[in-house]
Amino acid sequence: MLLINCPWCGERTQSEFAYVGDANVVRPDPDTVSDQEWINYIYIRSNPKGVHDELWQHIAGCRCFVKVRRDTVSHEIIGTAAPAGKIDGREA
Amino acid sequence: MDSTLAKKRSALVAAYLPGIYGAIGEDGPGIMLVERCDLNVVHIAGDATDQAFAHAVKTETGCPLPTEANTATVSSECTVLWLAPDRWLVVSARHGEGLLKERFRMSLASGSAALTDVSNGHTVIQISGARVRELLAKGAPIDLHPSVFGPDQCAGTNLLQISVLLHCVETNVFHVYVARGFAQSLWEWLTEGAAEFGYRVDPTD
Ligand SMILES: [Zn+2]
Repeated sequence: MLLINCPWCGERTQSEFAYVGDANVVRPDPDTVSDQEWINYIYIRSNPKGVHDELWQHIAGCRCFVKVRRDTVSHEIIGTAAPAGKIDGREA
Repeated sequence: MDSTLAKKRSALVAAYLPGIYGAIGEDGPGIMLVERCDLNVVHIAGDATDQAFAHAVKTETGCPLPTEANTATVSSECTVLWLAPDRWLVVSARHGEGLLKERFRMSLASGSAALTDVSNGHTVIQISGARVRELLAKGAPIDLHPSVFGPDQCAGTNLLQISVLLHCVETNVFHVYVARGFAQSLWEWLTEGAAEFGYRVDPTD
């Protein structure tokens, strides 16, 4: 079980959160996007071994999205922040 | 005027039987349960940094807007519970049903805020007694030690994997807000969990 530090509610258990996915994905402009870029945005993920920025939602608590920097090998959580915030510490 | 409103039918009606149950010790029941049918619950959304909004909340509820996460403010007639950034629940005695929302609507008319009466969607269960934290700890994955979770604190969390809002009213008195569709499941779990402490179910008013 992971302990995730919600920037609003503090440290809570993983069971209060829903996993959302890669926090680095940026929605392309729908007016200019190519089919391939749209497919990449919807489906293609890098699935890194190691440090990864991802979004979780504190679904049982404040329902806010939380950016989590997690090592996918050790499950160590390096830091958390609001989705637009910056996480200090080890980077991918 | 309120008397013309249809009375809400309790979601617990099929399972709620006042009485004394379980392993009652020498000190009497360790847990007391009662459904708080008398409470009116309004969800408000607004900008916490908007002074006019905060002022309207204070005027209409008597409570300063709680801007610190997981805290509640209390006045003689209302409780305001923090839910999320810019989201709160305003809880008041049911005799003010409709009134609070109407008054709010007027005082917030010029600003941007949203009010939703969610009374009929919520069941509020009051749990009290010397063993209340032990009972909640069987199903809630948060730290319930009195030094961490004391009076006027609240937390959205899970009980039995059901989303609830827990509010510590007094050291040994909690209110549990649950969506009414889950209320009976939660109630059955609570009573089963309370049996080892001995529990009393009080009549609702
Ligand atoms: Zn949270």
